[in-house]
Amino acid sequence: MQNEQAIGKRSIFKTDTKSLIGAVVMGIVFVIACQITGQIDNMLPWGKAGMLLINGTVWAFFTGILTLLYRQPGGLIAAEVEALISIMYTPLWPAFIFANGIASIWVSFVAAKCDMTKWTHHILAQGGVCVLGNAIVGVGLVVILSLPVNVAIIASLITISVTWPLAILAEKKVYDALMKSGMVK
Amino acid sequence: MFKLNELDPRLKLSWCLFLVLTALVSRSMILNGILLGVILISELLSEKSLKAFKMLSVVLLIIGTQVLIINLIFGREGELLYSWGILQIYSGFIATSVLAFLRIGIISFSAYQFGVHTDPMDMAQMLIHWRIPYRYAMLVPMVARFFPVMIGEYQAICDSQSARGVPNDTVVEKIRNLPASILPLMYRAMRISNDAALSVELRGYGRHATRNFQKKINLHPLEGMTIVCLMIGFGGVLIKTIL
Repeated sequence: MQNEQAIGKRSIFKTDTKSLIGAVVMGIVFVIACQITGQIDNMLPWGKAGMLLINGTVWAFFTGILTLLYRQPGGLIAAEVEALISIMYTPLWPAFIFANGIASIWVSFVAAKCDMTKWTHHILAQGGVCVLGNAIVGVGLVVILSLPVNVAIIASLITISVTWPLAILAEKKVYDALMKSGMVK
Repeated sequence: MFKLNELDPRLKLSWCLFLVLTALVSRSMILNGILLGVILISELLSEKSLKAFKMLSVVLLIIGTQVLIINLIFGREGELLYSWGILQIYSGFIATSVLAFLRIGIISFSAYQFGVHTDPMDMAQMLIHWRIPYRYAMLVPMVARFFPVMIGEYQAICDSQSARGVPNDTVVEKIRNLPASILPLMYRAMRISNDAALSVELRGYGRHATRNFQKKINLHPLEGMTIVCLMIGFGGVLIKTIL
């Protein structure tokens, strides 16, 4: 049943109106979720040191799940909506535009090769999202915020090591639940 | 007196990109300071107040303080000023932090200014002028339309959680309540997007290749020349930085 419903090994494109508008509205939910988790992170010690771990997990989860649900260009639209609205609360928005775009394309690439029913598929998808996304944000930390390179590398590595497993868990659980419910086909 | 709202969106986007790219390329504190000043003066001339930047300024001050502390502790540029155990303070941290602060100010304020003073329908028309099909270009006004709706939905979920007596004061409680507030929001978002998609489809969205707008954007020759000047200006900054 899951194999029949899984979106993997099908076209990576889905251009119907429902997907486009769904991507826009879910992109706004993505922004709200990132805002809330960003505020939570800022109250915690690691947030004060500039590492947004809960925010990073939610970012990776949403980037992955929205691309799996709305494919392309929906996934890219949702990701870029988040990146562009982040203008309102972070100067790292130019880095987010590239990070979100590349992460979304990576998930589409994995979903085109795998049927997304196994844990390994989600590990692969989230691996690319977390590594590529945080690497680009790391470049942003150096270029935009002028942080020392070693600080940016350590911050990115810690963020990857924390967000990757958590985002895999969240993406797999929510993706399976959404497929099982039949809400998204 | 000019109004930023009345300018062509392509000119405003060019101005924003010029500022962002110049801030990223240039390491001159004077140039960055001048650019930040120009943004603030243009806002004052157009709107007669800097109220729009109030919230963003607070956020940038917090980020700027974090950058200053991190550069103070980990920065290794310049001469050694003070050393105590593993803590070493170098003289370059002030210049690096000031440059970073000017840079994040330009990047954030310029983009915010473009976003605040550009009508979403103008942005859609700008994308249509760039040969992007209007089915995709019209998603920009949709973001502007649905943003307050979804904020309202999130507030309604938070209010209903409060009415049930769910505690949401400490950080741990906020983390614990996160799935309980985000997952219903996702569900509502799916429902709203399904309704909206059906609604626009029944009104003929995407049936024709083109679409009419009540107000059309037209690039004035003077605005076109300004765009060319901005491109030349950025080229000059780039060459000066490389050389």
